[in-house]
This record gives sequence, structure tokens and C-alpha cells, in this order.
Amino acid sequence: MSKRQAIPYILLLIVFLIWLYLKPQQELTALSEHHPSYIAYNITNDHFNEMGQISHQVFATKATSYSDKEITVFENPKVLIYIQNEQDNSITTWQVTSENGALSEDNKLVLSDDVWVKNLSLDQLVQTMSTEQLTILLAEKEISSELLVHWQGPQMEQQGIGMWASLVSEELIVKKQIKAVYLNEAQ
Amino acid sequence: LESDYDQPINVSSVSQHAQMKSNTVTFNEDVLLTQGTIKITGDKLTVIRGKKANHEIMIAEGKVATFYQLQDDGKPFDAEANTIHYDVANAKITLTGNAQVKQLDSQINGEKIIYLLETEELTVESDKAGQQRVKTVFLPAQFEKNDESKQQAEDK
Repeated sequence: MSKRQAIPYILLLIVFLIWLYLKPQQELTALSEHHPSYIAYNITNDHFNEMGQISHQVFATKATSYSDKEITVFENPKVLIYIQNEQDNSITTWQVTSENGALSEDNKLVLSDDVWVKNLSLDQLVQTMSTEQLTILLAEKEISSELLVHWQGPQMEQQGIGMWASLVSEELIVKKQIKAVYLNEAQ
Repeated sequence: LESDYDQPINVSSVSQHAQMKSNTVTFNEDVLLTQGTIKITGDKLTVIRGKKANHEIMIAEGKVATFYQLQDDGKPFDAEANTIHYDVANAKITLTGNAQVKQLDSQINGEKIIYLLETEELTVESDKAGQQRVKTVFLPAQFEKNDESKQQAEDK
């Protein structure tokens, strides 16, 4: 092939290289910054303590886990917490429900929107409690809130702002602006 | 008033500590208990839940815990002590420690004073060792006024 015949091919090559250079890079569709590692629906989680007894259960209509942020977000979570009473070996059961929840790596579950705590065994002074946001330390079985808390017991209704309670030592501290009513209804 | 002790009991305070094992709720700081015309104040109020409903025991404590009630005849009844023990079921108030009751111009001091809400009856006990006798100060004038007002009421 003489030089003159090769010219068109060289031109073709140059044009191809220019096109290659100018061609818009085909962008990979960028994934949202935090993409879930998994999503589960209608879940039941059973957790056991070192002696093999059931410690707590977590239910939810939806669980979305983000491994990079080490957080799992729940929809309509329900938590059942079981407390072994040493004296009589009975089990006190607490149920906590809310619209939303977020569980972080250190076993801290923050529940928000219409949070209800209920004593299912009805063997306690505190029978129900409600607030807008509640933090549960699942390992220590402690609950706390910085917001307005209402709690009800037999013939009484109490409220205050800011609260901490240990379901194990069965004590509750409410920090500010306490108002209580002992109904004292004729029996 | 006699109707007081059927009313709901309202309590307010700064903070609160409930201990479920002992069925006790402790109200701390600026405690105010109201029930009808009854007012009890103190630094601390311990409410112990009874076995049955409305059988709470309420103990107000403070440098001075105070009790106030408007009696059926319209007279104010003021009392104070270090400890005021309110037995809700039996409508019974027990004042211990520098107990003092004041009504209009009369005043009673004693180590322990028991006041029954239903009958408005007062029992004063001196110190067991008898050192501190019951001090009762009734001013005759206060009685005469009563008799006169009764007289006028009857004359009408």
C-alpha cells in the first residue's frame, strides 16, 4: 500500500480518536449516598441472654439496614422486653410500640412518634406510659426520654418532663414539672 | 369541707421518683397536694399505694409541712408540723414533730395531733415522756363572738 493510499485510513484514525476523546463519558447512575444493605418486611427478632433465656423481641412491618451508617430503621416497631424477677422467678413483660424506630450498633433503640410503653403483666405500679420519643438501651433494659411523659397506674395519672427508668430495678425518675392525680373514685 | 375527702387528690412538684418494688412514689421539691379545700405543702411527699384502691398513705415532710382546710362552718383550719401523715382511706391526718394547729385566734401545740376529716375531731397528744405538755390557747373572746353570732342567727 503506497503512502497516498494510506492517507484516508490515517484520517479515519484521527477522526476516530477525536470522537473517542469528545464522546461524553457514560456516567454510571450514582447510587444514593446511603443505600440500604438490606430491607426486610414483617420481621421478628428474638434475642437471648447468656443463660439462654429470651431477653427481648423486636417486631416491625419494615426494617431497612444501612451497614455504612451501622443503623437499622424500623417502621411500626414493637419491642417486647422480658424481666426475670429473682424473688419469685416470675417474668414481667413490657411492650413498647411506636410509629418509627432506629437501632444503632450499641444496641440503642430510639423510638419516635406515638410511643407507648405498656406493662403486660399488670403487676407494676406503672401500667402504661406515653411520649413522643423514647430511647431504649436494650442491653441494660433502661428507657429514657427528654420530652413530656404521661404515665398511668392504678387509680392515678402522672405527667412530667424528662424521664429515666430501669425495668430491672423497677424504678422511674421524672425530672421536671410533675403533675399527678389520684382519682380517689368511690369504689 | 366534709366533701373534701371524696375528691380527686392532685399533687404537683419539681421531680418524682417511683419505686415499683415498694409501690412508692416520692415527689420532691415544692410539693403541693390539693383535695377540695385541703392543701398540704412540703419539701417531700411520699405516696405509698395500699392493697386496695384509694388506700394510699401520703406522708408530707419538710422543715415545715403545712395543712390547710376550710371547715364546714367556714372557719379556716391551719396546721403545721415536721411530718403530716394522711391516711386517705380513713380520712385521718396525723401531725408529728412540732405539731401546731391554728384556728382563728386559738392555737394548739403538741408532739402529735390527730385530725379526723369526717368529723373534724382533733386529738392532741403530748410528748410520751410528758416533758412537753399540751399547750392550748383559747381566747374567751373568740367563744363569745361565736355565741353572739349564733344568738343573732336564732333571733332572725
